Amino acid sequence: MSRDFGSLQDRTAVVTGGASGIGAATVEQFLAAGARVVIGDMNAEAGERFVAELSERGHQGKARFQTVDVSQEEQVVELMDIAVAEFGGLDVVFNNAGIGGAIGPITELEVEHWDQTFAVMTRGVFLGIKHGARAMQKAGRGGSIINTASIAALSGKGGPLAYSATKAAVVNITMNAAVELAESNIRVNAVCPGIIFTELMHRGRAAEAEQVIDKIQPSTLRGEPEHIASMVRFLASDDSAFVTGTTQLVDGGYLANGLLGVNPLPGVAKRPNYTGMNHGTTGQGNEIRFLEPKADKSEGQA
Amino acid sequence: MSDTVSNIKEPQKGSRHFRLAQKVVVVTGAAKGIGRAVAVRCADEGAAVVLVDRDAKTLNDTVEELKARGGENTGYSSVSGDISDESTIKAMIDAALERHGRLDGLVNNAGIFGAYNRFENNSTETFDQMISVNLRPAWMAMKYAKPAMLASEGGGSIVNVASMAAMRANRGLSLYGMTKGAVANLTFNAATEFAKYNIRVNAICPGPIDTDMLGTVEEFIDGRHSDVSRAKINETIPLGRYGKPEEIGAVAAFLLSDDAGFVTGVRMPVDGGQSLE
Repeated sequence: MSRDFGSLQDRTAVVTGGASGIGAATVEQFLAAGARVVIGDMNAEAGERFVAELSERGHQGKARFQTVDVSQEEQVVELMDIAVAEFGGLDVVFNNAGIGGAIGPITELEVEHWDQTFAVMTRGVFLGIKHGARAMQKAGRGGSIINTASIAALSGKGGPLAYSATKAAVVNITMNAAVELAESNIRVNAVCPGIIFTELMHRGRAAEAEQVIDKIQPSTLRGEPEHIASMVRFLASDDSAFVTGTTQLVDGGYLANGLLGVNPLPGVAKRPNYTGMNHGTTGQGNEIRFLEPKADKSEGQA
Repeated sequence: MSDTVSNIKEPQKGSRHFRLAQKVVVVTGAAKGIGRAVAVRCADEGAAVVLVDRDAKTLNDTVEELKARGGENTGYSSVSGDISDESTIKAMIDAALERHGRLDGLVNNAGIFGAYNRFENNSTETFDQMISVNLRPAWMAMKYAKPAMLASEGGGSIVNVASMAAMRANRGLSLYGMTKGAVANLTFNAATEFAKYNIRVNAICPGPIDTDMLGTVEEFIDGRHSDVSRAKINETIPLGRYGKPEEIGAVAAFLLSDDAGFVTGVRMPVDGGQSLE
C-alpha cells in the first residue's frame, strides 16, 4: 500500500539562506520529496556551487539559485517571482536566512549593528511572508510558510542579545501571520533549533563543546542540520495540515529540561571582551572590536 | 543477535513511505477516533500495530477492517481491557514483545472527557476517575514501555496524546484539562530521564478534532443541535474547520519516526491555530 505520505511532489519552494547549513539540508529534503526549489542566499559563490552539485546528483532543472539580500524588498519580490515564473506557482517558503548579528555586551552594542541584525532577521522574515503569501494567494492553492526561530528566542541566555530578540520577534510574527493568512489556507509555523553541532557552534573546540552539551542537553545525539530539515519538511507537507501558528522545538529535550542555561560555547565569558557584527555564512567578513579589559577592582584597590 | 537488531533499525533512506518499517507500535484507545487513525497510519508506514481498547467488539471490528485493507506491515494484535487496570498495560506491552518481537513505539491515546461540569460540581469520585483513566495509565505505560524498548535495542518513541486543554482553561472541562496538563508535564520528565537511552517522549496537543468524543461536547454547547455548536466552534479556529483524526495520525507518525530523531520533550499543538486567538 504505497502512499505518498509527506510528499512535496510538483510543489515549488523558496528557501532563503539555502546555500549552507540548515537551509541546504532542507533544500536536499525538499528535492528528495519531489519539490522544485529556488535557493536564495547572500553567498552567491556557495549557492552556485551547491546548485551545480545538485545538478550532478540528478536534480538538474529542479533547483535554481538566486542571490538575495532578504532585507531588500525588491530582491525578495524578485525571488518569489522567479519561483512563480520558472516553476509555476509557489507552495512553500522557508524563511531561514540569518546571521549571528550584533555581538558583545549590551553596553557596547552599536546601533548600526543592532539595526542590521533586525533588518536581516525580522524585516527579512516579514518580507518573505508578505511576498510569499501574495504569490500563494495568486496561485490560490494555499501554502506553508516556515520561519527559522531559535531556542534563543525563549530564554535570557541562549544567544547574543540582538539575535535572540529578533528570534523572539519571529515567534510572534509567526503567530499573527498564521491567524491572518489562515483564510487563504496558508499555514505559518516556526522551528526552533537547539544546539546544532557545527563548526560555527563549537568554533573548532569540538571536544570541549561535547562535554558541555552532555551536561545540558538530555539527548545524547548531536543536533544536525538534517534534524531541523526533516521537521521543516514535515511542516511544509500536508502531514501538518492542521498545524499552524506553532513554534516547534527541535532541541534534543534542551528546553524540557528547564533552562539550565549554561552557554554551550566553550570558553565564552559572561561578559564578552569583544563587540561587533557577525555576518555568519553570507561571505562577508565579521567586524570584531576587542574591548579594553575592565579594571580589576581588587587590583585597583591594592 | 545485536547485528540483526541494528539491521532492522536501519533508517529507510530514500523511501518516505515506510518510515516505520520493522517497527512495533502500541496504540491505546485504538478502536475509533484519533487512536484508530494513528493505528491506520502506523500500519500504512509499515509498523506492526498492537491496538488496545476497552470496547472489545468495536476493537475487533477495527482490527478486521485494517487486516482487510491489506498493506505491507507485519501484522496486528488486539488487546481489550480497561486501560486503568495495570493488567491491561502489562498485557499490551507483552503483546508487542511476545507476538511481534519488540517494542519501538507507544501512543498513549486512550482518554475520556468526563463530566461536563462546573468546577465545584465535580465529585471526588469523578476527580479520581479522571486521574485513573486519563493520567495513571499514561504514566504506567511509559514505565513499562521503557524496559521493553531497552530490551528491543535501538531506542524508542513515546507519543502522549494530551490536548490544547493542557495549556489553558476550558470551561466545563476543568478535570479533563488537569489530567492533560499532568500528561504534558510527565512528558517533559520522561523525555529528560529516558533521553540517554534514545527513547524520545513527546506530547501532541490536539484542538477540536472531528470525533465522536468531540460530539459529546457539542451536545453540551447546544443541546442536540450539534450543527449549530459545530459552526460556533469553527468560528474559533483560524483554519475554519475541525481537524481530522488522520491529521493527528500523520503527526504521530512523524514523531514515531526517525524524522523526529532530535525532537523530544515537546508539546506539539495541532489545533488549526485555535490557541492563537
